[in-house]
Amino acid sequence: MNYLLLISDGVPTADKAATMRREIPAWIRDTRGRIYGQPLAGPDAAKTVRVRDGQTLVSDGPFIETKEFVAGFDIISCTDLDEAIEVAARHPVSWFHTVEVRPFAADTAPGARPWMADDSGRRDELAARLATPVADGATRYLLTLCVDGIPESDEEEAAIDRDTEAWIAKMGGRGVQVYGHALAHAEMATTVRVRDGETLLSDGPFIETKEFIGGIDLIDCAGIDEAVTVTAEHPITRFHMIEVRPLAPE
Amino acid sequence: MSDPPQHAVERAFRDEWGRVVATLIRRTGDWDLAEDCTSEAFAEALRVWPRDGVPHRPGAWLTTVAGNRALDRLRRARRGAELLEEVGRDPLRREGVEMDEQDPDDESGIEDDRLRLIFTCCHPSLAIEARVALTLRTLAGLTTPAIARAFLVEEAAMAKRLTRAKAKIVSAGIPYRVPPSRLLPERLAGVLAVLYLMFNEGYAASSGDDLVRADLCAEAIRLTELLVELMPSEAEAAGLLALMLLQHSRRDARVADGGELVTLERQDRARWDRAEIERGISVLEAALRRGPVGPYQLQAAIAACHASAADAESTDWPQIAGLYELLATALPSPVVRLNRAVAVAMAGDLDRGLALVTELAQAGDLPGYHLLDATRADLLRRRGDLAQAAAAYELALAQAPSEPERRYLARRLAEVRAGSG
Repeated sequence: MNYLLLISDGVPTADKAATMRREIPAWIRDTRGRIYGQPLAGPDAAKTVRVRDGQTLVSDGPFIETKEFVAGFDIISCTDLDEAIEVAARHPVSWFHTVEVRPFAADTAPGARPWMADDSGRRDELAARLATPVADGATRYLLTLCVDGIPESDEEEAAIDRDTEAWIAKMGGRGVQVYGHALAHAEMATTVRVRDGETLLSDGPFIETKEFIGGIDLIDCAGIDEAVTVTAEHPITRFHMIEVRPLAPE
Repeated sequence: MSDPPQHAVERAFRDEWGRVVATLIRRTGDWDLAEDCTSEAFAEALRVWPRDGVPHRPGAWLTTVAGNRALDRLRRARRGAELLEEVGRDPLRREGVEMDEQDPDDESGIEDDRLRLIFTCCHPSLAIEARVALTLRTLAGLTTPAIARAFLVEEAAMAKRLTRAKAKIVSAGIPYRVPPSRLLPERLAGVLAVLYLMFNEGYAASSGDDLVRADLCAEAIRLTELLVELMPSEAEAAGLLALMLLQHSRRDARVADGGELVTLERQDRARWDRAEIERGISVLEAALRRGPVGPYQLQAAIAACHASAADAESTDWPQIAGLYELLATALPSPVVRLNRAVAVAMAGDLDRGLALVTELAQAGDLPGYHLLDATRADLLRRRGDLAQAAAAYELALAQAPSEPERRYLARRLAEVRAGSG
């Protein structure tokens, strides 16, 4: 099984920052199933993109403003949820804030692409591709697809699926899209906190809202303007919205 | 057959439902399929057993029929062929979906599927209400409408809760297994908590008029018995069973004919179930001998002190106070501290007990908890501070969640008002 860890953070403190600097390299080293992961630039660097009546609407900031926000992500491969929970509970952010463990959608689900197949050959291939340095002059962005879970009509859904495939093909051809996959419904999430050495789990995403993250894409673009343009072409923006956020500079 | 086949089916339902479902889930990985096919097997038993007689081993018969149904359905399903291939490839399901290869009564050396099922239903990544409901549905075989009624939830909402929990087990990859030893202590504590919650839901309805919902208590006891049988070396599982039996032994004396709650002190002890008390005490003694001693055994020991007293006056309060002190160390919760305060007061030190209750009230750890004010009121009444007791009864009355409790408190309030007036 493959899982997305959404690392959520709050107000930074010197004490916490020191722990993170010390512990995160060890966490990365000890997490064998880790495929890829990066911290994100702060929520101020986020843009949220919607397309309504053919107009691209861009707003500053993340799709939802909260005290705790997604500060990074990791894609991990584990045998089951228990293993994923243990990996999340070893992540130092879970000692201060929360780590949401969200399964990726099955490869057969609509919007899923068979890049995340369970067999380790393809996993290694994916890890290698994601590890390739971003080209000079380009920046990598995380797109989070924010959906409201209310099903579209069958025709609309078919159109979204078709247009998504076309978007992937087009962006892939231009070398823009490097990775993308649908996530299982937010109700399938488990939120992990560690307090006083005890792992505390809760059912559902770290923040319960009407809108939730339905999938992620990673794109490499020359800058935020190109990233917004590319995002606006994604069919999801016609019905929902996509948050675009650069990864933290190395 | 002296026993009518219908009774045999009912008994088999009680004894075998969980085992058949658990086995089918392991072999197919499909919870709904497992439930449906098990239901069909019981329907088939109702048709066939009266005609052909009750099979020698009803459990094996039901497992075979349910398994064959599952196999048929998988074959017919659109993706049947692929699923069968998966089942064959997956080492966990190497034996395939054929059900009749293995003697289901032979438990030597194999982990009981029901144990896998309990731990999966009680997985901590599921919401606590979902854990309770799923355990009742899949392991105990209660129907969704019955569970919905027991928890005062709309049937559709309960169905949704169950469907969602099952979907999460599959799509989030919750493993179908008994947790490995490094996770076992914490996960077993989680299972015991679910079973005790189920029992308490039945023992004192959290709202409404229906104070004793005997079904939930009986199911919780049955499931805990099963757990003790499957994990005989876990002393706390036995401790929980003893605790439930000892509490349950008082069920008939606990509610008066008018539906009003009767406190332990005033209960008619002739109405306590002696056989259940004896069983509880013997389960507890065995658990204490095995150890290690944990919170459930301590609570059961306290319940045993009450159960062994011939009347309220001869209750061994000093011993109970001592047990609560141990419990407060093992389980430092405000409710335990409240009970300890009562025991201290009852053991003769009314002032110290009252001071402990006041301390708790001032710490504000139990906001809105009616029993805190009810206890304070009771201790004040015993000390003769009737005006203060009346004020505390009024506070408790405003917070009490169930009708019988409100009636009890209202009566007490009237008594102290009359006394102080």
